[in-house]
Amino acid sequence: MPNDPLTFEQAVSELERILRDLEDGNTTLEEALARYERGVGLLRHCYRQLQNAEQKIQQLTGISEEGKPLLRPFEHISAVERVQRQPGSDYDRGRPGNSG
Amino acid sequence: MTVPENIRPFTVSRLNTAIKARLEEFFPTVWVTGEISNFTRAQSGHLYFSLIEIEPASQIPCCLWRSIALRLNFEPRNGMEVILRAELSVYLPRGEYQLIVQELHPKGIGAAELALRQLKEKLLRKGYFDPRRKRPLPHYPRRIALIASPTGAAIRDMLELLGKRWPVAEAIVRPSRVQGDGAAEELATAIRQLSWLHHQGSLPLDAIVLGRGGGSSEDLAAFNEEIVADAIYESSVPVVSAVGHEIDVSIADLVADARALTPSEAITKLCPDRKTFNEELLSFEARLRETINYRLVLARQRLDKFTDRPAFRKPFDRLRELEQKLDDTSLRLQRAMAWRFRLARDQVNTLAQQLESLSPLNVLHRGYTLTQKPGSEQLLRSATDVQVGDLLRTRLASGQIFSRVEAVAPGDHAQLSTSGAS
Repeated sequence: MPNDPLTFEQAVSELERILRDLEDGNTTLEEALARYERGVGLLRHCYRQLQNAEQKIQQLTGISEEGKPLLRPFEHISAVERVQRQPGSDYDRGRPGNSG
Repeated sequence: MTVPENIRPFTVSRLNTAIKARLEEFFPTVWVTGEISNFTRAQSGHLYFSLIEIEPASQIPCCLWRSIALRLNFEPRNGMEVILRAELSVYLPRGEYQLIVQELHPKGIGAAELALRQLKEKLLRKGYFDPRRKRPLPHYPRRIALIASPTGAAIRDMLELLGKRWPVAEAIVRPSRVQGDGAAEELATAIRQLSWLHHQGSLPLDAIVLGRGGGSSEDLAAFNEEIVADAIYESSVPVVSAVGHEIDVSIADLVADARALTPSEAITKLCPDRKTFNEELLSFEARLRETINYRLVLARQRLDKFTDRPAFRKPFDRLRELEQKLDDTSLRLQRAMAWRFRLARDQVNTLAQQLESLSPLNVLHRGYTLTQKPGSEQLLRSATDVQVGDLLRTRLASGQIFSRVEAVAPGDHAQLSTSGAS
């Protein structure tokens, strides 16, 4: 998995815990502020991960002798065709004057 | 009674052999229908049973050799109505005729259908469909393996939706045939490979999706095979089966941790929408701000309450006392300083007056004058200090006179007054 020490699962569950603690009101104000800061940091982390996400597709072609996966970029044949075809058709569809 | 002389009796074996030859000649192949009874599977792998008819009561023993038994896709059972193709034969040691079964078909239901039903029963008993062993799917998957035909619509649909909905997750495509001979083996191998890589830690996965576009019920066959069921059951990664058939539930669907009707639905089930997640984060942000603001307001209110109490008011009183004292002191200091200034000024004035009374300028009031040559500070004391024609400046009590020397007469004090001096 991408070498990211903090998963969304972890970030979200920690955010939930922080909110619970803050809403319980059992923390001191100083603790609450520290937790708030941590929460903001977690959110920033999540937003960044989400914004930087770019689809990555690989094909598993086999397993090496050392037991490692053999991967190469995957390109779907019809996906290539679609990319070449679609902009024109979308453009046409988007213009009322072209419909008939 | 005696045996006639011309009789040559059969031996038992010869009779049975003769009967066998006649029967086999007369019934080379027969199709028979009946119900299975006394079914046994011998150690050797051969199957023995009786084919019976209840009314009128009749039965015939049957043998089904191992080589044929291995190719049966269903399990014969007592009470099962079957149609079989057999050769009639005689078992010489016992002199019994029997049917040597070549083909066995369940009656009223396709063999494949029956096989499927029986496999389902078997897997159910083994606990493959137990809802308690179904694993939860990840909330925010980071890597998903897709097993599908590399050229089909299923893989395209899944990748397209994944890119739109949740590009956070990396897709690992593991191509496999999904129908035809050997498809089941390929699918099972694909699942085992991915499961192994995940287990080894060399390719951690959040889920495996088995994807297949729509198709006829027969096309589903590979997903109904026991080897595929075993591979799914033993997978170290949660499996989502998206075999794409609404009417027939495949065995893969039943064993998988989750089932989707279409490959696209599998992606929807597996991945959150990035927009929805973004909104979720925004609501977290809002709640976080709200709670901390609430805490701050609460803290301020508590502080205010404290400052209203006498115990906390007193220190302020004390402070105000101190402030007042300080103000007092500084006022007194200012006053003291002002007095000192005035005193000092008075003293200076007195001295200045004394100084003034001693000033030589005061002498001029009494009628004396001071004479100098312009440009020199020296006061003239003797007539010899000047020559005829010199310019002189004479200061009086009021004003000055500039004059020129007409004549010089050196001599005694006050005997002669120069014309210029008054």
